[in-house]
Amino acid sequence: MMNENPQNLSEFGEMYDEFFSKIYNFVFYRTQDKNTSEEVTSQTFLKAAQKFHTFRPGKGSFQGWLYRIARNSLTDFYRSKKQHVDLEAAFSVSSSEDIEKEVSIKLDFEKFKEALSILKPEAKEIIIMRLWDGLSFKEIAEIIGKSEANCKMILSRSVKKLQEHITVLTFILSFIFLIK
Amino acid sequence: MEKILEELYASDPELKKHEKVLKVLLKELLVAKPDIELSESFKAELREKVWARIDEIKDAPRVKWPIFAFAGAAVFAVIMVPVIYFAGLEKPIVSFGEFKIESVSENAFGSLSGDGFSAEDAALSSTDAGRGGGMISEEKAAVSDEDASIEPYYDDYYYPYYSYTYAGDELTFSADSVEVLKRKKDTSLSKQLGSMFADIDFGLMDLSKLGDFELSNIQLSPPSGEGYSVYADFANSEISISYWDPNMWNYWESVTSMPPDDVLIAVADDFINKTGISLQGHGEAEVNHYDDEYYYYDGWVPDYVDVVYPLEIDGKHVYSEWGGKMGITATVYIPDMLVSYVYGIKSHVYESSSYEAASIEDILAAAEEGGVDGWYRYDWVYDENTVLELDTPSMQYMQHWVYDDYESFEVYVPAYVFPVIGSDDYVVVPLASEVMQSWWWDYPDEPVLYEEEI
Repeated sequence: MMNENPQNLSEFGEMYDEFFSKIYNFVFYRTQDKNTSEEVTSQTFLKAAQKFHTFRPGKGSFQGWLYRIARNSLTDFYRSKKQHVDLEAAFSVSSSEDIEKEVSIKLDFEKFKEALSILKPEAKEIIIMRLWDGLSFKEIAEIIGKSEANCKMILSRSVKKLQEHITVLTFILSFIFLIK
Repeated sequence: MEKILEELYASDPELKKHEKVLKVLLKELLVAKPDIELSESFKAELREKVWARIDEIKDAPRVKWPIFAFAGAAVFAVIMVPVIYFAGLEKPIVSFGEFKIESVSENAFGSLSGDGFSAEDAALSSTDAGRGGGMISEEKAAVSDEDASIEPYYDDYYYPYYSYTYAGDELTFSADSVEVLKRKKDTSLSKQLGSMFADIDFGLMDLSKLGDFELSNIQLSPPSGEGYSVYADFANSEISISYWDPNMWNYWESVTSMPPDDVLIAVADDFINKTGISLQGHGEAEVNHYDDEYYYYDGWVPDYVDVVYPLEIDGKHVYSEWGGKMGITATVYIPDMLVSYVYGIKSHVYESSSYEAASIEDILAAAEEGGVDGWYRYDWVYDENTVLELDTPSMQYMQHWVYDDYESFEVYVPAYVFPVIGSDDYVVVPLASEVMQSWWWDYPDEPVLYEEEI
């Protein structure tokens, strides 16, 4: 559900609490660093206030506009630090052994993370937006500047690609296990 | 998760056949979601700042920064302040601008596979597991295991079936070895600057008593935080420039089409000239369109476009691992048509070491598999079952990162660049045998083996 667009700067200020968590989480999922998240979130809101007069409701939602500023602020932050936006870092959290046992599939999770590296950054970004940020395809499309259909296509293809890669990895691991 | 699965099945009903693996995959992605660390005091402080900013800007007029003047001053400061300081002390100055190649012993950079696997491991695994990639024929893959439940798996949905065939002049390559380049890091400036800062009297302590220092990097920022910043990496003899200005976020207003290349290049040239960035060893500017097909379809106009001044070593260009020429790159921010980022300003002293060359048979096989990034080509670029013809290659360099436990570094490996006939695309094949093998281990091409039931 899209937020209603604030009509003026004061309304934007009053809606701060509503937007704050979404933007902060969006940044945190991609940096996993509290200090960096605070810095980029601050930049996002201060820039949004500064540029509120350029927001055009007819071209999209205010929330989408705010996410775009957050996304660009992240890029700019890493550029200023001479780093790249490393979305792969967002997947660096250890995997749950329970899931392994539950489904009885021998997955090497280091290889799983490696598997994610076969995706283009944009595909990884869409996966994070849908699964972690909980954004709808309409919202994702607005933020990254693609059509809704394209976002769906990229996600399904990426998941399919991951599924195939993991299937192959599983086979190879089984093969290695057999020859040992 | 069920909702997401439904969405995926709606996009691609074929996925439902793999529901078991998909559920694991989605669960794993959801479990990996980080726990949020949030400070309520930060939230409250930022709320106050936002309101303060709102009050402050309601009637305030906006002023543009004199950006180029500051950029020139910043670059001047980074480069000249140490020069003036050391000149006064009659100490030697390290120049970033020198171009030189020094020969060292063969295999001097160690293994170039850099992934924990030797070339032999890669070849063996590739063959035994049937991972293809030009190192094994489809027929061999198909008979490598007689188990009836294991068959070569061809996916005609996701992976495009375009393939490559060499249609250029007869190719003769019989060298036993090729010369691989590694950029030499000169730490003398870093040590000199470290020593200089250690001599500063801070009035609080004597830093020089703590031992020797190196100044690895320094960042110069505009006083208000708005304008150009300069990052000088002395450890790697490299400088980058970035621009920040809150007025940059006006892309909703005016940008509806991509500016022509000559306009973008003019913006970059203007910045390079005004800031005096040396283009020695670099060619004429060109706009990087390498990823256009992937990123910029549907009429979407990007915020940033790279203008590259290609690095030229012995008349050869250097291609990055992910495509496109490397060199001094000026990123143009299209809504404001200003240079917002410059990188690739670095020293060019290289060490050259001999490594075993790949055979002509492997080179051609690799080219017909799509080269080092064939894995990444997307099927909306070409129709399925397309056969693309490769023209006679030119000899260039290819960037290759070597990942090591102790130090990751890049090397430039001689490579054949095969133009794809009828397109602007090309296929890159490294000519050092070990590098070629490492790429095929990382990115196996079809056919791959598939086990139906897990």
